[in-house]
Amino acid sequence: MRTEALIIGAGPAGLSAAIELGQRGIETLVVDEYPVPGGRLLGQMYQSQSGWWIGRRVAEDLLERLGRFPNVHLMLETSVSGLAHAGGGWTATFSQRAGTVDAQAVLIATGATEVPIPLPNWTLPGVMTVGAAQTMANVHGVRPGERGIIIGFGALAFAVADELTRAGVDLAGIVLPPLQGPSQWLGTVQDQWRRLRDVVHLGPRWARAATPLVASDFWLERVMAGAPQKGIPALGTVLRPNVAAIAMAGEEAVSGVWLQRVDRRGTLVGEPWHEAVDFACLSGGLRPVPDLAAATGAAMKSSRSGLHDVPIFGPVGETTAPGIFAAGNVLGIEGAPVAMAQGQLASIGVLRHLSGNPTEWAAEQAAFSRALEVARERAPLVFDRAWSQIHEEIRQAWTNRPKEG
Amino acid sequence: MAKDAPSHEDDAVIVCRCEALTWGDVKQAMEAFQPTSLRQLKSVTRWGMGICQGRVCRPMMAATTVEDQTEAAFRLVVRPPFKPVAMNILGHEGEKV
Repeated sequence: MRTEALIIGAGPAGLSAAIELGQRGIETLVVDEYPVPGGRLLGQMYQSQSGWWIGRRVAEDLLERLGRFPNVHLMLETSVSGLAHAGGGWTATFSQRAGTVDAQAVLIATGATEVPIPLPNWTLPGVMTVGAAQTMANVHGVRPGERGIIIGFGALAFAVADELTRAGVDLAGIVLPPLQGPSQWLGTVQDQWRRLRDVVHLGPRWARAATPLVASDFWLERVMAGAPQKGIPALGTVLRPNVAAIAMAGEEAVSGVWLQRVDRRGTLVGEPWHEAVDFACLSGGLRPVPDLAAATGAAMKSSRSGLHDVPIFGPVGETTAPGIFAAGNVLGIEGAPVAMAQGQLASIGVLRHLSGNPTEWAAEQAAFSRALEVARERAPLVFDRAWSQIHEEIRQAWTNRPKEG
Repeated sequence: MAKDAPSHEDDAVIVCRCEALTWGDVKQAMEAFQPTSLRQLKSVTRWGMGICQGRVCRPMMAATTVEDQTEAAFRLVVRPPFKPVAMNILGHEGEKV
């Protein structure tokens, strides 16, 4: 099969790009691994400045608009297993279907993946990532269990705690992850506590009043280490900032969690105790899935942990590989409205690549860039402070990249 | 209900589910082989070489302390097939979708 544009990933970025390309008459094929299009939109449900964000409705709206364009095709349950430069374009192969697709331009919108936290017995049934619990509850309408615990202060921890408690699921709280051994990449206890600054505004009104207090490391440490062991009420559950999960317990499935108190320096103190839970959500955060971009030979910005590996990209999602574009969380972890604007911007990159005219669609580019800025300003959550710095470094790397000819 | 206190042993923490490797296995390999890069550690332990191809365990690998702490020592190469492919699909390579 031949197509002008191949979009890999039918999440907010990929679908938004497909609508723009569809409108402009481009033959477009969108592929996605999952049986249902929408990506992470399907599980999102939170209150923002402008009311409730119901991701599933946003996905339905995007698909409804996409359905108007007979030149856009959607191929689900399809993973890209190979992507090779051939005849001026790219040839893709797939893991669940025979044959190849030749595309002149490829948009990589493969999103992000969750990072689990290893602790003894974390492979027992009942231990899942926090996003898996979100999918069970919000996509499939299934309770992940009767009583759970959230381990780790990843950004999704707080959103999912809110969603689960609203759904009537009992939680033993949000606790620290283990910070030694294979979990060292999570940083120090101070790093974990600093993450809480970005979510103070989600807490109860009185906790919001504590914002100036926890702004200094000196007071942050003392407030967190001195919090009551039973926790601080937040999001329908309790935040337990000085309690760490050290192991899961159970034979056939999770029956409990071992917890231990942590002091101001992050050292485990006192005796561990057991609390009964039948599920646990690991929240180590999210990281981009840039494998396809890396495989095309696009210049990458890499990190020791792999948590911040992203392609070097330009203003309309261009990578340094010819005809390869990227949009959405594959460029860094941000919310769906940001991914949607990035998808629209990348469609401009694809259009210019197809026409060979690098200056057309300037008004659209300006409008989509503005939409991206607005989406960033209105983001209810900062996933990881590192990303704004990384994006600045990428802007410089893009400007200074070696140019052909 | 009596509960046994949890084990803090490194051998109790699985770090690579696909290849059933524990943190203890990794530490042992680090000592025995003294790999200078993540790629070498992969070669001696098979860490990240199973069906997930490091997608689950990649960040945990950064907890290892190889001698060379530069980013280059931690870089891993992506090679096709990016996802597992069934043999009957491979047999039809070259046909059009």
